[in-house]
Amino acid sequence: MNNKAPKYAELIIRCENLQDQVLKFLRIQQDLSIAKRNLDKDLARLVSVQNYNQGAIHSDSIEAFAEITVESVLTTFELECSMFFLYHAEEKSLDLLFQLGLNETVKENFKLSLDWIMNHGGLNDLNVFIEEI
Amino acid sequence: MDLLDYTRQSWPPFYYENKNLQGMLLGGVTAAKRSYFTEINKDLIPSFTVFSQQMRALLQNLEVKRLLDQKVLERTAKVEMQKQEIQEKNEELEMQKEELQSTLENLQRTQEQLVESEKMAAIGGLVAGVAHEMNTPVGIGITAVSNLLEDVQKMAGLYEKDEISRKDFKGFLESTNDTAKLIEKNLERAASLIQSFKQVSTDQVTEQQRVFAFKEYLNDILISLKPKLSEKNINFKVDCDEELTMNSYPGVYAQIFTNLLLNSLQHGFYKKDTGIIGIKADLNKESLKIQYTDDGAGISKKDLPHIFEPFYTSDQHRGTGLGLNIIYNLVKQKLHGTITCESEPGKGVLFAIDVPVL
Repeated sequence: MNNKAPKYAELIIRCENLQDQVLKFLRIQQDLSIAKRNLDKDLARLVSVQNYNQGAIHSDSIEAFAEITVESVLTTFELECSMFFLYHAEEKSLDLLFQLGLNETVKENFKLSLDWIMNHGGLNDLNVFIEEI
Repeated sequence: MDLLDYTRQSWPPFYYENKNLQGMLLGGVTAAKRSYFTEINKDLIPSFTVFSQQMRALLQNLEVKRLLDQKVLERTAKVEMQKQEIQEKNEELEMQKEELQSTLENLQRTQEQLVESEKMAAIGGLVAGVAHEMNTPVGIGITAVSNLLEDVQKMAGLYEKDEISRKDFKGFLESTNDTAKLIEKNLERAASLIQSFKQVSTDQVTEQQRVFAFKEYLNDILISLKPKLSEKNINFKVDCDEELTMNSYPGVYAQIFTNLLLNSLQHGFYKKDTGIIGIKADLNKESLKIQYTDDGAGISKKDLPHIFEPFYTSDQHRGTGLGLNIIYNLVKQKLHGTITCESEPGKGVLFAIDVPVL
């Protein structure tokens, strides 16, 4: 049986190894914590999306649907304003149907020209953030 | 513009099923919160994707619902329109029905009036006939009374002069006796005619139920119609039990036989001056069976199924077309019996009447 005490140098190496492991575990713990927070947020958003789903499915008009959608966008994604547009083919414009969070002056008859949209990034399914103004 | 103060965040646009653009959703934050989104931009993408997919599905669902509602509305409107059309058609039919009902009532009233007129005309004919028939006995009576008066005056003259011989007086007595017998005979004849006419005409007007001797009554009818019937040389053959009595409506029988006889005269014997009319009546426990026949012109195969219809006549100039219809109605409605007719052109007619015993 080997009852000899370890040498100092050996202990230093062991200690450093342990410290490395502690740091590694701390990073992992932090990553896990961030992941958990993100997952919780995602879960909260998905619950909110589910609530939206249940509310919107009973809409009996496009106006009611727009209102529920805009409200859900604000609560689900913590945004400050949201606007629901319907496309007017003859005028080639997107007409505002419902909005929350904007100044009163844009509430009625607000339109976005399709040309203007195309000049500012266009309608792209893949880009969530197109532009910052 | 205030909108430009926001960090604009464009979400996927949404499309109709035919790929045409339907709309777009925008969301934004103020510049102060811009960093928040810059940091978590990538983290939000899965949720955005789910949300936008859900929104598209829900929009499609709404569109399908809208189309369905529209179809339901269109179908409902169509059904309503059809209901309205049916309602209008029903109202139209109801109106036509009422008009028809009113026309029918008018027709029935007119028919009743015509039947009444026919009856009155028949009675009028009877009056004329009886008046003609009465003329003979009354004329003979007047002549006889005149002769009697002359004889009486002649005897009175002789009596004044005290010149009456036994022979004259005997002759006067014989002559007076003969004349009185002649007057009595003719007055009885006139009384008999009046009695027959009175009975028949009263029965025809009142149509009351009573007990009557069938054959005797039949003879009264024939006597009443004699002036009319004597226009032709008709041989009557009545086959009926003398004791046959009925508790029924004699006036109805009078109208039936009057119309049958006039029908034979007007149609059957129109082109004939001689003929035979037979009337046979048998009463059993259940019914009275009458057979009326003539050997006149008969009825064509075409006309035969229609003879009891009102206003149906083979010749508009020789009748109103109501005679047989009146008979039919009287037999069916008043006597609750049946009447049928067999005939062939040139072979006369046979009317079979079956009346249940009351």
